[in-house]
Amino acid sequence: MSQKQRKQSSKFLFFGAVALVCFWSLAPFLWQVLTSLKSSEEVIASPPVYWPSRLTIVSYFKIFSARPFSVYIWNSLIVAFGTTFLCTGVAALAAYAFSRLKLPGGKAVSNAILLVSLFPPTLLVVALKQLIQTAGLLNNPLSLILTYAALNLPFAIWVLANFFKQVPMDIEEAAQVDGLGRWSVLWKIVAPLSAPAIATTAILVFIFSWNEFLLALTFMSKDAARTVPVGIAMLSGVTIYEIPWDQISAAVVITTLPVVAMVLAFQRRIIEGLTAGAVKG
Amino acid sequence: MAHVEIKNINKAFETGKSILSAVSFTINDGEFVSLLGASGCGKTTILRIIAGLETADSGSVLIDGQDVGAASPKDRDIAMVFQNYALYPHLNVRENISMGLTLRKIARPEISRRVQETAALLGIEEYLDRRPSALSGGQRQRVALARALVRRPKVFLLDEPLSNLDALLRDKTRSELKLLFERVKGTVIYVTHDQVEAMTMSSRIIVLNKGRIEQIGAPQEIYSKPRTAFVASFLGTPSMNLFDVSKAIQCGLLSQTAFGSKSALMAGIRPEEILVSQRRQDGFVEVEILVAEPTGALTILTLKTGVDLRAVVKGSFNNARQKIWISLPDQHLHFFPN
Ligand SMILES: Nc1ncnc2c1ncn2[C@@H]1O[C@H](COP(=O)(O)OP(=O)(O)O)[C@@H](O)[C@H]1O
Ligand SMILES: [Mg+2]
Repeated sequence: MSQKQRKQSSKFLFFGAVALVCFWSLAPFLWQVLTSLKSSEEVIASPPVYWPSRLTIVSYFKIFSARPFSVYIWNSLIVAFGTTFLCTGVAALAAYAFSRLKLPGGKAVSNAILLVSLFPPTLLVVALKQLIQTAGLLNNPLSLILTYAALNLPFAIWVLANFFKQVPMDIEEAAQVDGLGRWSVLWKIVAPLSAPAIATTAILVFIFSWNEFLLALTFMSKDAARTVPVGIAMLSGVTIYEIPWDQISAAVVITTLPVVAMVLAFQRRIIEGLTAGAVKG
Repeated sequence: MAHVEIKNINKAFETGKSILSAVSFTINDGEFVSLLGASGCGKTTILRIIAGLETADSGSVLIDGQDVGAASPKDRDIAMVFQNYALYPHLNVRENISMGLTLRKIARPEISRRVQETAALLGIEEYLDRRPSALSGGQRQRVALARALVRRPKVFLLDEPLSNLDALLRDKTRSELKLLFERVKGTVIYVTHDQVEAMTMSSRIIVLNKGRIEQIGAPQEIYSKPRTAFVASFLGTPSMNLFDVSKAIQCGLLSQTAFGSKSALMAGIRPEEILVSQRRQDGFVEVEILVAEPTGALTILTLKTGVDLRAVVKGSFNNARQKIWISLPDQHLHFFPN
């Protein structure tokens, strides 16, 4: 084989492998998209119809007309954005304290926080439900926002603290001399410089809150208070034998979109190296 | 513009390891004073204590007679230029320069006027919209200076601002800086380990050694009347010859009758003050030349005597016989406790 041929065949193998991985991970989603575009008969046809003979978007209309799906989406948006802002904001403050202020016992506390995150949330469901009930927050999005934020805080603090530590101390001190107080140093200097980490953290928290099922199911018993994942699970036909797969698929496709949009919106931020040129070079 | 007084500052980062001991000095309004000392002697720490970024274990800092010990950096009305510039990487040059003004609630037109004026003063108008990462080292250094100048603070604290520039740019910037601060009548505390910078730029020099002040004085005074052997050897290139008086008497460089009483002391003489002759003369001692190093305008001679001695002669030096006669004039001898 010539040099060129070898190069070409290795290129071919590489793209082949990439395509395979893409197909492997995207296939379920592709199946959902196809299903959502099938007619009701083709959805339940056996043997399965892989490629619909006729594309229809009627299931997309159905989930909004026959079901309170817009309410689910609204609830999910409130919970996910509420959690993201609360969790990222609190985590940024805590992370800054851990990374910069020499607090007595700070190290021990930050290790303890990481340890707490090892508890599987499933273990906490019953206790949390009682807490939420006592607080009178059942069917209130606040119950999910507070719980999700608490569950994600250890991870968020840990990621942000490690990033904040990398912001050169000199820059912060220059800012202090320039007249910034502790708060402004955090919001105007440290946070923008750690934008990639903050964006990453926010996205992960958002995805968690958007997808969480168990707690959402437990805390939100009223249909009008449900979030999307629970709403989808509750989509059912007249009888148990009549599961509306086309509608479920349409719902899944619609709810995946915000997450994809989030990631795309922040992607540039994540990749951008912001600390370049801070000091001499 | 202001008057700065440092009173008896002590600092140790770890107990028992003193970094600064009993540091006291006064800087007058509009004065350009250098803190000169070797790396690690505590210069930056002094600046940081004045700026309020570090607290002293004891002692006080007074700006215009006010004890600022409890004030945070932003309330001290000082500006600092950091050794590695510490620009804000996520902001462009204009925003970097104006940050301090924006925070002090100065009106927008006034801010943009002052930024423009300062940028013009430093020749960085073209770069106002660039991020620091798109600037060269020299340009970054100017931005750092502009950020300090634009604030018109009471005191400027400069931490080795030239040390990251290459030699040519450093020489050029040195004189520019001096002019610049004369023009704005700034009170400047300038930290450097470079004696040439200290000598050429400052009205007074504070020489530091291992966290203690060795001497404070005008450059010429420090050069001609060094109070300690450390100061004597730290200033001047090549550095002052230092030797035991007793040894110099032994090898005949100094006379027993004149200097016998000082034989316990250490003597010093600058290489350029040693008289050099190509011929035998009265009162001169014959010595062998070990090395002759021409530097262009001068030649540095390392001599073989009973003590380590270097002399400087003008121009190039040609001596095939490798022998000369030298004399150490009494009036140029310095004596230090041994
Ligand atoms: N934050 C710190 N913690 C411990 N030691 C320090 C700290 N800052 C400076 N030092 C020590 O203090 C000494 C003086 O430092 P510095 O003031 O930076 O010296 P210079 O600026 O003269 O080179 C050095 O030995 C340095 O290691
Ligand atoms: Mg230093």
